[in-house]
Amino acid sequence: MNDNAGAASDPGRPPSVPPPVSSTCASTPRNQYETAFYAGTGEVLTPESVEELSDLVREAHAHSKPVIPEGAGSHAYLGVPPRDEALLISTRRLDTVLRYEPDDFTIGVQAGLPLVRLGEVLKKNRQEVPVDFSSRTSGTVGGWVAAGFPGPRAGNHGGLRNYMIGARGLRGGRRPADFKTGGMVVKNVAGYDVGKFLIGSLGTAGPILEVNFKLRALPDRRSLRLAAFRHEREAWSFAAHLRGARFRPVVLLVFGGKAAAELQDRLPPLASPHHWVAWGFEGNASVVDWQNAQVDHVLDERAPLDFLDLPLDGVPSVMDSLCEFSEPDPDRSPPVDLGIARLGALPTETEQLERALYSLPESERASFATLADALTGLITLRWVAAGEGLTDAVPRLQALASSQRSSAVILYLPPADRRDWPYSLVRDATWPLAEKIRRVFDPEDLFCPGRKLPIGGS
Amino acid sequence: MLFPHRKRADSPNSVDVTGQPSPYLELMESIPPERLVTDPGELCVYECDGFPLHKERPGAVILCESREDVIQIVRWCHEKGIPFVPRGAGTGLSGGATPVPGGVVIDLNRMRRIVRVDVENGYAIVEPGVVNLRITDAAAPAGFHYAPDPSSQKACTIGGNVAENAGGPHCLKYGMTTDHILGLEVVLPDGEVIRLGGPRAEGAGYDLVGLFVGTEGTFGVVTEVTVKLLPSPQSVRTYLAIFDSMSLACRTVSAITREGVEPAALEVLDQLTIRAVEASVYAAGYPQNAAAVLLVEIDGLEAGLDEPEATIRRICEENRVVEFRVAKDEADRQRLWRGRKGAFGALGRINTDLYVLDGVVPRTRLEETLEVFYAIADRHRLTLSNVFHAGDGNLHPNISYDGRDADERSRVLLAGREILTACVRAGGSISGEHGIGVEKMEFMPLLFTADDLALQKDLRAAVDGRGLANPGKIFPDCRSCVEVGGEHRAVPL
Repeated sequence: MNDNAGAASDPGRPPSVPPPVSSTCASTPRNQYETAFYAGTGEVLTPESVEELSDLVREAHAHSKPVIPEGAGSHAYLGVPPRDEALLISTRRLDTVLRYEPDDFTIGVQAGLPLVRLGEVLKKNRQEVPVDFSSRTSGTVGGWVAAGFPGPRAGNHGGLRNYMIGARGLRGGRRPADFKTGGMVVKNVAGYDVGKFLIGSLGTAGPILEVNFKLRALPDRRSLRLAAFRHEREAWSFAAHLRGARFRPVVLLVFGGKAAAELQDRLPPLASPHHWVAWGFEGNASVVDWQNAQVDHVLDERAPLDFLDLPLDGVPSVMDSLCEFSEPDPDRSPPVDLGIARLGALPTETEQLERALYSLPESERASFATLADALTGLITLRWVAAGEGLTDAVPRLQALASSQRSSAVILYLPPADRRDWPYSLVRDATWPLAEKIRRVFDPEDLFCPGRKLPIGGS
Repeated sequence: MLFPHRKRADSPNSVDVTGQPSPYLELMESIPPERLVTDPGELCVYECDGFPLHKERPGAVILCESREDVIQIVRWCHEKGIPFVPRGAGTGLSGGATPVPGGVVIDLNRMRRIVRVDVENGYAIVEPGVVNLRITDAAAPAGFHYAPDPSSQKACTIGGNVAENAGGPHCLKYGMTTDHILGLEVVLPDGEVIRLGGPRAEGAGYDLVGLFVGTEGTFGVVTEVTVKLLPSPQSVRTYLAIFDSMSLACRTVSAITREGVEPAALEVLDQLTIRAVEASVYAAGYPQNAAAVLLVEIDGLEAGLDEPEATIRRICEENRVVEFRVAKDEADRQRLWRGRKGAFGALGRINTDLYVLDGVVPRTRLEETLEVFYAIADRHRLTLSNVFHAGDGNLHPNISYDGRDADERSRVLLAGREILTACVRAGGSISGEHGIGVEKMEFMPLLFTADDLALQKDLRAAVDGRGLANPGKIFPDCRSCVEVGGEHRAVPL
């Protein structure tokens, strides 16, 4: 018999009030990013069951306290940080592989499963979700979905929206309720595709509890090559050729500014101050070899300054670096002099957008490093500056994105500056509708209010 | 004033069934007669789509020619509180375009402009009434195509494809409609126009395009669609594997999946279907004594195709394939596909009516599920054929019946329910590509709990507070909930 039951049976004692779930739930200290960006929160609560997590959300709602759902907290810097004290709830202990059908190429996992473990489990059967993440990440599956990052192979394989076939989430309100969408079959149109709304939601549509993926076989062969050109135009011309030809590059990136230097730890030859293009093929050996041979002919004509054919075992490490380009170093304190943004254009407009970036004042562009995905039109920009110089670039990026009709999001700014800028630098007429829909998941506006869209959606 | 134009003469439909003045009198004042259908005889055409088991008579059909037409009609409906149903070619198989009795049907077939084709950036912008295949026709000269290819692609429209999140044989490799829609222009149920997504790389907002695709017209009327165009494959190889047992055909499919081979399409036809096809104008040279044929297609760069071909051939041989034919040229390939794509039409030869079901199971459970289907048909004394997208576990059990026979009709409905229940029990779903419509509303609780459905209904209410956009679809009404409530069970995600 528990204490409460004892109290209830003793009419002489006042009924005891059960302690708040947040005080009994296991917890863990915040990491340095959580500490910096979630200033008003306590420790990270780590419920061990969906029921406990629901109780925490219910408690938060009862006290009108914002909730920050998260996985491992590896991307705490994403979006606008909470203004008020919030309950920081991690799904990291919900980390089970629930259903894995290798023969059917599907898997269902709890959201707290570390991404690295997901990769390991799938690799045993030579399978993958072909959306890249760094093998050095501490992130979880749920965080991956909530962040919705496109990987370097997005131009060919698409993003998580193309592989997530089911999900379970927790809806807020006075009576938090878990809901499911989709299932474990690769083709399914029963009901609304609610899961799509969770991808890239940054936790604002509530905690993600489970995710199902359809899988692909790992390719037999992968190649990743780089060539350096004297002039930027030559690099872009080469990339345009690869994009327009009958090849099927799975990676096609143009390095701009100091990008090569940023990656020199992994690729020492790239320290040379030239314009590099990276491209990759995958598939069976015949098709990869054939494509590489075709590109060799093109390279013969274009005479690059330098050429690097990565050994097979060197590819994963470089892919890690390419993934990490859009993130601050997780092993160091949150940098106070770094900005990271991502802009999106049409593939044929990417070169023009990049050129526009490098036409910003010398004082700002001097530190620019860009990775432009010539297949998707996404440009990831890193820049470094001290003090106000760092954020001086933001309104210029905003103006540039508006004039170029591109999207622009801030992926990272130091904690002291982050709240001054919205996640998206470009206003969008769909925001009020999106906010109306989001409020279905979060009627009382307690899940990371304002993190992704301005509060109220306008 | 709607549609500036000439006036219309009196219509036989100027009063409604209760003898009250029809609300459409106002429309008659303002819409050109050739674009407003109110004649009861003409309205019959719109009573159902490709799901004839449920028919309703609309009050009026408006043949829209532009976004402005749609906006004005939707605003008028919103103002008057009149429900509306968007409709494309009416080829849907779940009753998604079944009219609301007395409501408006917004016909989009005349909105068939291909606004832009930009192959360099891999997209096209089209109006909703553009026929699926016309998009590929427009992009093909530049070496591109639009990948989703429902069997009805010569007739079905892209607006309907978006509404139902349509599939097709090549979705096995290339994904469903939702994977190929980059942007939408939608007239919301209150008449507001909104643009979602677009051809440029990711925006910063939520994936509203992904959420809107497959909402079956309940989130408004799509007036423009931005679709993804893909480079056409350099090479395509098509095979016909002939089996003397359906089980062996299914095992072959499972083995191909297990090996990680990624065919562009993997289709199975059973014997009854083969015979119907071969007796029809779609005859493809399938052997009529075969228990099943497996149509396999691989595509990509020529240099990469020998290996998957060898693997597929080996797996077929391991599963005692009777014959493994290779399409020797494009004409041969087209002929093999003609049989598959015309199969549903050919099945019309068997009886007066055809109920095309649509369920999904994990690909490893095809064999056992089909056995259950055949047993169900036997028990209900019904004629069952199967033609399906085996590679993604998407089954199409087809029941041929005489709709004039009330008893047979009721047995068809019972069997349909049992078949879909069997799909769910096998870990699958009640629809792979046809949508829920009116056909499967009552089966939704087989898959979803009350909380799951409440969320979806609330999403609908957030977009369509008055419930005027295609009401009576997807969600079981309260009565249905009660009826099927006893069957609620925890279905694993």
